[in-house]
Amino acid sequence: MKVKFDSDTVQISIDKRIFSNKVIQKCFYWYTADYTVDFETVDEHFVSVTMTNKSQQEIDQVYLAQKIPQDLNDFLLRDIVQEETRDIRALIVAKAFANFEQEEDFPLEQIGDSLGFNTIS
Amino acid sequence: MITLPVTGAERKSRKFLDISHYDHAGNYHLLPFRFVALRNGREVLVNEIGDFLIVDKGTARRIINRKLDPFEDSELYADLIANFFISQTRVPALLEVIATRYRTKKSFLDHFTALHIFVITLRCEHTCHYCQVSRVSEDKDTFDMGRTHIDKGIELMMRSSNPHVTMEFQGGEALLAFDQIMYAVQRASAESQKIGKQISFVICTNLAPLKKEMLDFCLKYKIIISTSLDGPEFLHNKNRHKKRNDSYQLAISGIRKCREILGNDAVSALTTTSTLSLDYPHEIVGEYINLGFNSIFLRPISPFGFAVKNDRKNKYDTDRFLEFYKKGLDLIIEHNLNGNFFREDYASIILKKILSPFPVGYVDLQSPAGMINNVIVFNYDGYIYASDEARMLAEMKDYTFQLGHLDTAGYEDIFYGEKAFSFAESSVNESLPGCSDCAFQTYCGSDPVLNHSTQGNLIGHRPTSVFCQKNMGIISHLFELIDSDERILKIFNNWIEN
Repeated sequence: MKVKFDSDTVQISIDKRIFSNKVIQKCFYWYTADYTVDFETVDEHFVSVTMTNKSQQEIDQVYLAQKIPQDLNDFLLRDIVQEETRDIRALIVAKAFANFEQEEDFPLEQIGDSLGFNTIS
Repeated sequence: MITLPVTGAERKSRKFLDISHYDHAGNYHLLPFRFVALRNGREVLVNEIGDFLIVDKGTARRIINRKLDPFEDSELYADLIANFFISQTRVPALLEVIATRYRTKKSFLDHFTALHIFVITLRCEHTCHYCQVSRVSEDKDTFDMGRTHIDKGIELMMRSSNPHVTMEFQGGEALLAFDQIMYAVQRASAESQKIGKQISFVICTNLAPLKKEMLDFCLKYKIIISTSLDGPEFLHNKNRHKKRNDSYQLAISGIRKCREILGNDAVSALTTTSTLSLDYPHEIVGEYINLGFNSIFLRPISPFGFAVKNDRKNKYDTDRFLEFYKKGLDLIIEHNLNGNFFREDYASIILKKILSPFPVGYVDLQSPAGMINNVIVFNYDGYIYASDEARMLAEMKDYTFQLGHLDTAGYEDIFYGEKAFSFAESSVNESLPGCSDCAFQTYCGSDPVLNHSTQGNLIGHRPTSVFCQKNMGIISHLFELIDSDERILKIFNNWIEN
């Protein structure tokens, strides 16, 4: 990732093989309060993000050079969790809102014992 | 002291399995969770059911990148397993428990609309500069709710599937139409008895027109009084303008009379934070403590209607409010650390969501949003609105959230109509941009009315949202406080238990 600063713009070149479009867009969404954000595909591997300052304050280059990669990495991590847990989340919600006609009586011994409660006895 | 060796039998009696039971580094499955960095160099992890862990920064990265080792990170590993952040099996063994916990978190939806607001009159003798609705002083016939509309509102309220509804009277100044209140309370009581529905009554009032006969009636029907107190006399009177400049004296004397006749618990007060208030957090909190209240609700001005017409007096940055809020909260915590019980209500609502498995019936912090699902407003003129804020918008000629009229609309038209469905699409924070990845999603909510009012559309734009900025600021601060001092966590637990 390369970050280039101008007087009122910041240009970031991002490798799409590492950060998907979804991750990039979610990350830079949070910069749209202070910047106008444009995306441009450079080639099949790289996307260029241009942030143009729309606030009166000067761009804090040191801060952004540290914050942008940190945010991108955080959104990448969030994306990994979201993708890996999509089915479990759907299962939780479906089970939570299932319309039980009567109290389900599930046998405890089939649930497993990952916390080791059974060893207490 | 003799330390006995740990025997095999004793080891077996441990609540958790021995660490050797667990797989080696990285061999685990993620469960849904979100994370965010705090300002104290730590980060908070929150799972799908609102359980949290405050950990060192970088922990989320280690968990997600499978860098955790059950031996080297045994304590963290056990916490993550026990609190449903990771699982040793692809489908967690306690999936049913997680699903039940999720259902409990959303159980505020079980019974549908509880709060029914009747704007019994628009007349008022105050001219507060931040009042969100228009005010008129005369013409009872035009600005009081008619009995036909009261009857129809009660009929709709009785159709709510909620076994316990609240009928709240608002104004204007509600006590100016006390004859209408008496009629409505008597009729609603009779109707609710017929079908076995429980009903609570609340009157929101500045207490200025209060008379003893009114309190006798309130006592008979167990009516709760909710009043306004903005702080010490100079501040209250400056915010809440009245001809003789006696709003404070009338409020104080009204609170005393309410306590004498109805009891201490039957009267509560709310603050509204004007620009002037921002300079006096300690004085405002001190006023509530001195008056014997056991809580205060430090709330910003709602950016609706007339409130935002007066920029100089009512418009301020959320940063300034947060600074005010934190100063007030610091004083409240200090008061508690000195052995007293005194609670900040907004923090308590959020803390209950953080520290307990249960939801809170506070309509402004719910997903799906509280509008219609939990609150409905019958305006003085018979029009029906999706929330209190929605009718404030209508006073500014914005009728986006008007659902119909009591003369013509049926229950299904209002509660399951096209408009209700169109609002529902933008009322779930799990699917809103910016909220869907937010660590505080479970503790927060969505507010399509506020989005529409301040940003011009129902979805809203989180990076510039005052709702987001305020809640992110307060929730982060609460986590930092929890992490800073065990005594504060004890105080917070005490607040939600009492």
